[in-house]
Amino acid sequence: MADPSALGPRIATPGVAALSVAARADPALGRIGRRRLGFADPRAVRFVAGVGGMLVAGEIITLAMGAAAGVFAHALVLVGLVGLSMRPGTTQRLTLAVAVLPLIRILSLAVPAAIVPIVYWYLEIGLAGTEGIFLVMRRLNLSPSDVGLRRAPIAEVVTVGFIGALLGIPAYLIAGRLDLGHGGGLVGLAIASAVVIIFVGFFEELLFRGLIQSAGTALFSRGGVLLSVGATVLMYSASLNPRYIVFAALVATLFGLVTRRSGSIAGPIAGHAALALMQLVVLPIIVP
Amino acid sequence: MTSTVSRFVIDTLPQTPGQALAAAPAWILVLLLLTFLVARLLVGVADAPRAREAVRTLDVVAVPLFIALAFILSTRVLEILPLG
Repeated sequence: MADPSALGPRIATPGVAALSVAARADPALGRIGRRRLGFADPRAVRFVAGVGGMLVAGEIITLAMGAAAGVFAHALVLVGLVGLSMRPGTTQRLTLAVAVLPLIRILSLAVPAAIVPIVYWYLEIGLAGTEGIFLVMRRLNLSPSDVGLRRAPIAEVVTVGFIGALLGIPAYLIAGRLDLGHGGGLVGLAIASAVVIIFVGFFEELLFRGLIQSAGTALFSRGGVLLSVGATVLMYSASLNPRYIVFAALVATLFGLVTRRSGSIAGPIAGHAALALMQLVVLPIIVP
Repeated sequence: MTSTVSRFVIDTLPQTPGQALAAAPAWILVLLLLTFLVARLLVGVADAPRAREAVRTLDVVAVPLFIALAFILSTRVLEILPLG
């Protein structure tokens, strides 16, 4: 194995700049802000387990008792997470980032689905969710580079984008047909493509890899990838398709590792956008 | 996609803005929004340390909920008005 230090300057993981003060104060944080292996705070582990349990309970209540009970359960989880994030501390960043998940679920269950083309349903939820993410960044004083919005090698972006486009084929085969670009002509196709790129590719990577993984990395080092994969699986579990959930977990792991390696979410955004574009817009036209 | 909902509950989701406004999820959404807006106002006028941070924390939920409610109401207006 080559010495990593010989490969040039190391690129910091998202969130490192925001943690630089904490890194100096906390001996468990390494030189670049990542928590050293073996230094995971047991309280933080219990905290994450508790928050995860609450989110899973919300999903189970939605499944067992319907949309109204599900919205109520997720509303309770949301209020709890916002209440917890009022207290400054090491878990505040993660708590506020994770609060976006029940928020998205509430919007998904409350917004009407049929009066407008289905693509606008994703637009409504994505617009509100993206605003939520930007407000989390404002609250935590995170700069774009803190959440991985920074330049990445063009080769990495192109490679991950190409892999994402290829992964769109199994995604289409596993999840089945969902055509977002159908029936609107060229304008409808352009709108559907823009919605998919921005509110699936960009939005989800900013949430899972940009916010949640960077917050998890600050707490658990490599566990940050695991945390972002867990959040992805939780949100995709609503599909109730085991093969699709496993597929989403594997893709999330790939994107998480790319983000951890390069410190940028540009590649995962390209990959996710290409995957969703192939799955939801291109393949439904080519393979009706 | 993150906004995917289970096929078990998809039949119970509101299909039109009228149904959305009449359904329980929208009322919970409105109640939640009002709760956060009232809390935001109270915290905003309170002479408390970290009040600004608390207001910004509440905004994380209040603004997206407001956007969603505005969208439901605007589509309801489009639904009942014979436009186009």
